[in-house]
Formats: sequence, structure tokens, C-alpha cells
Amino acid sequence: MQKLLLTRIADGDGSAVPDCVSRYGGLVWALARRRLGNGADTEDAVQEVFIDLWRSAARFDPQVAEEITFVAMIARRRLIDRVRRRGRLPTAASLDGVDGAEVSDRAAPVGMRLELGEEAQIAAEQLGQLDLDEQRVLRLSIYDGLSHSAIAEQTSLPLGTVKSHIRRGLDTLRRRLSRRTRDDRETKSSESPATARRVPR
Amino acid sequence: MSRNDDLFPDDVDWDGDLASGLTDWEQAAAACELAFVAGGEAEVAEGCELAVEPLPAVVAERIRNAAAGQMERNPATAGGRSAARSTPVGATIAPQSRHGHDGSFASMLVPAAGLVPASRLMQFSGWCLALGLGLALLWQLQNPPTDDGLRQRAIGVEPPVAATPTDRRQLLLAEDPAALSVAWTGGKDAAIAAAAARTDDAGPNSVRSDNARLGDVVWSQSRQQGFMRFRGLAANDPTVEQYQLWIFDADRDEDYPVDGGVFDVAASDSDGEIVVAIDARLPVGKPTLFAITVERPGGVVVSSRERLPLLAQVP
Repeated sequence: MQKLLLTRIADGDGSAVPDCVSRYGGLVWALARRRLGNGADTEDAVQEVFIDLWRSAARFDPQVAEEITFVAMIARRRLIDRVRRRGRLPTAASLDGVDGAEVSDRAAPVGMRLELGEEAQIAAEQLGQLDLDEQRVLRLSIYDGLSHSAIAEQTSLPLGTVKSHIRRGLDTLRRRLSRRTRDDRETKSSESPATARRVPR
Repeated sequence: MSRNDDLFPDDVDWDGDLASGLTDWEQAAAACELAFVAGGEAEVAEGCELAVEPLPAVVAERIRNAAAGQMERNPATAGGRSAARSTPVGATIAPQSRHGHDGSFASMLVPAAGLVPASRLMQFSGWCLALGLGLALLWQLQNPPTDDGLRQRAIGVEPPVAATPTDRRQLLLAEDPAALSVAWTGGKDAAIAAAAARTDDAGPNSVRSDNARLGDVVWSQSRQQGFMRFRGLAANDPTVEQYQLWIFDADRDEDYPVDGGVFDVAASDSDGEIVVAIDARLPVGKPTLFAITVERPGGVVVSSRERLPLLAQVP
């Protein structure tokens, strides 16, 4: 089985760096543009995300999270951090007000395709099981980066409801992902006990 | 409308949390975000793929160069092994604690041909080979094998041979005639008072900008690489405070200069000359000012600039 890019980087394989930039550059770029809009600041943010990714590569455990999810987590951290540092609002609106579906549709003809992985599929399934209010709240929180109070203001839902929607939605997903991880580990452990890896979280 | 200020689970201290590992909540949030970016359930179920616009080539190149630059600055760090203390008078860039710097990043800094643009590789390879051989010879002459050395060789570990910051500074100046060289000007801070007191014609609060007195900063714009030379900078206790470099860039908001890395001055170096490699976190478009501040251990993201021992204004 081919080694994952972050594992190669953690093992000191420098040739994995350009591969990693090629594979995940588009994803990080898309996430950064959503939060920061276009401009030099976004380019800097993307670079910062990748530097953080190299630094965090040793903490990546493929038995806990998929590589693409790990990349998205690091990007999410750094981008939120950057928004806070700059003390400015995320500029999703600067992408001509388009939503995510339109961004991906628009980008498709000139872009590249990136395999999303099982965790994003589980998340999508999970989102599909939520009612419309819950979906909307989660989207405003996770995707648009709005605060709880801003979501309450925009949706006219009570603040407590907003918080519980977000917490419940994420908690259910979190438990599903953990269960999947545990099942995977058990399967792999029964198949090949010698290769099972335990990395503290 | 405030955003992200109370967003769960985003109201955590990332830097502090990073060391403890990524959380289940973040994993769930990231998976959700991926699903949203892909356009929702139908899109994900349909192709399991995400269509994205590629990263602009210029940005990708910059990131690859930044990685290559890191390798050049840290040639002796690999696989979490401790970096070679470069020189008897050399200071080292301290671990970036606020970023959770650990061996993982160091381990990827093993020079790899695939990372370095071919032109730069060709340009550097001759110099590096000659320098490496020269230093190896010098090291052999000055450090006859000790018991430890012999034991290291017996188990296949060669003693580290690394170019010192002083050597790399000289190399940079030789190879890039366009590199900036700006003298430090002392500020009103105890960290530089000792050096200030040694100036010929100025008081401790008004130090003349004398290259021979306080040192200088060298910066290669084309290579995005530089070195600081200090004379008389007071030793610091890294558990209490550290020096941090800031690079003001004409292309950026002056409230947000580029973080040039934190460093320490050992007591044994404070009376002599030290050379420190600049560790710029972001590309510098047009440097206008280099400033040294004294900050808490690990440095800060935004400096209060309360203690500014040294400045170097680019003419």
C-alpha cells in the first residue's frame, strides 16, 4: 500500500512536500478564499497552513483521521486564527456571494478533482439526516464561520437552540467517526496484529 | 456582527491545543466543512470527489520555495535529532513553541533534490560541496576523535558537519551582490545598554548606527533569506524572555510586520559577535525596517513593541 503523503513527510521524505502541495493546494486555496476572500492575505494564509501542516505531520495518524480531513482541520485552525488575528470578518461574501456548490461547479471545468474520503461522506450523510433548521445552523457555523449569536440573529432562532443544534449535530458526527475509527482498528488488528499502531491523541 | 468569537468548537486556544492533538470535535467540523465545500450530500454521494480550482502556480511555487528555504536554514536538523550548535559564537533560532515545533518538522528538512528548484540546486551544489569539504577538514583538524566520537562512528553516526550562520552569511553576500546590508541602531533598552555604553561619542540612550559596534542585518530579497549579526546584545534567559525579529514590509500593513523568528543570546556570546539566521514566516515583498523586540518565551503574534532594543531602517 502506498504511503500517505503526511506520513512520508513525517518520516523525513522531502519529496513528498511538492506532492502534498499539488494534491491539497486546491483544497486549502478554496477554504482560504472562502474565509478570507481573494488577495495577498489569502496567499499568505495558504502558505501558513502548509507550514503548519509540515510541522504537524508527525501527529497525523491515519487510523484516527483521513489525510484529507487532517489537512482540512489544520487549514480550519489556521484560517480561523488568521481571521481573529486580523480582527476582520470572514469574507465569504467577497466570492461574489456564491455558495459552496456554486464555487465547486464554477471551478470544475478548469480545476482538479480531489477524492473526498469516507469521513466527508459520513458527514454528508449525517447532514442529510438533520432537519432543515439544523442543517442551516450547522452550515452557517461550520461553513460560513458565523458565531452563535450571529446565527441566532440571522435565523431568528433562540441562541440556546443554535448552540444545541451545532453541538448535537457535531456530537453525533463525532461519535460516528469515532465508532468508524474504532471498528477500523479492530478490523485491522484482527487482520494483522503486528501492524496495528496506537498513537495517543 | 461578530463572528468566530463564540463559535464552538472554535473558541479554543489553537496554539495551546495543538500540542495536545487534534480533537474529535475538530475532526467532525472538518469533515462537515468538506461535505459543505463539496456541495452537500448529493454531491458527495455522487462522485466522492471535490472539484477545486488549483492553487495558483505562483503560490504553489512560493510554498515549495519556503520549504526549500527552511532546509537551507536548517541543514543539520533531521529526524528530530538536535541541530548542530553551529559555531562557538553562533546563536540558534529557538524552537517555535507557539507553533508546537517538534522533530516532525525538523525531520522533513532533510535536503531533497526534488524540493529545490533546479536552478538553485545547480547554483548551490558546487558551493555547498566545497564548503562541506572545507568544514569537514577544519572539523577534523580542530576536533581529533574523542572516545565519544569513536563510539558514534562505531554505531554509524557521523558527527554533524554544518555550515555556521557566519559562513552562510558570507556565502549569501558573495552570491547575491544585491543583498541588503543595514546597520543596527540601538534603542532605549537594557538589552543593548552595554553595547551602547561602549560607543565612543554617544550616551547609552543614543547609540550611533555604527556597523562595527552593534552589528547589521543582511537580507537577500531574491532568496528571501537573511542573517542578523549582533555585537553586545545582552544575554537572555529563554525561560523568561526571548528576542524576536520583525520585518516591516512596504507591501503589507505596518501593523502586521512579518515575524522573523525568535532567538536567544547565550551569556557566553553576549560579549562577542553572534550571527543568527532570519526565519521569516512569510514572503517579504519590500523590507523597510528590521526590528528586534523582547517578548515572552516563544514570541508573540502581535508585538506591543514595548521593548525595542534594535532597529535597522532600510535606506
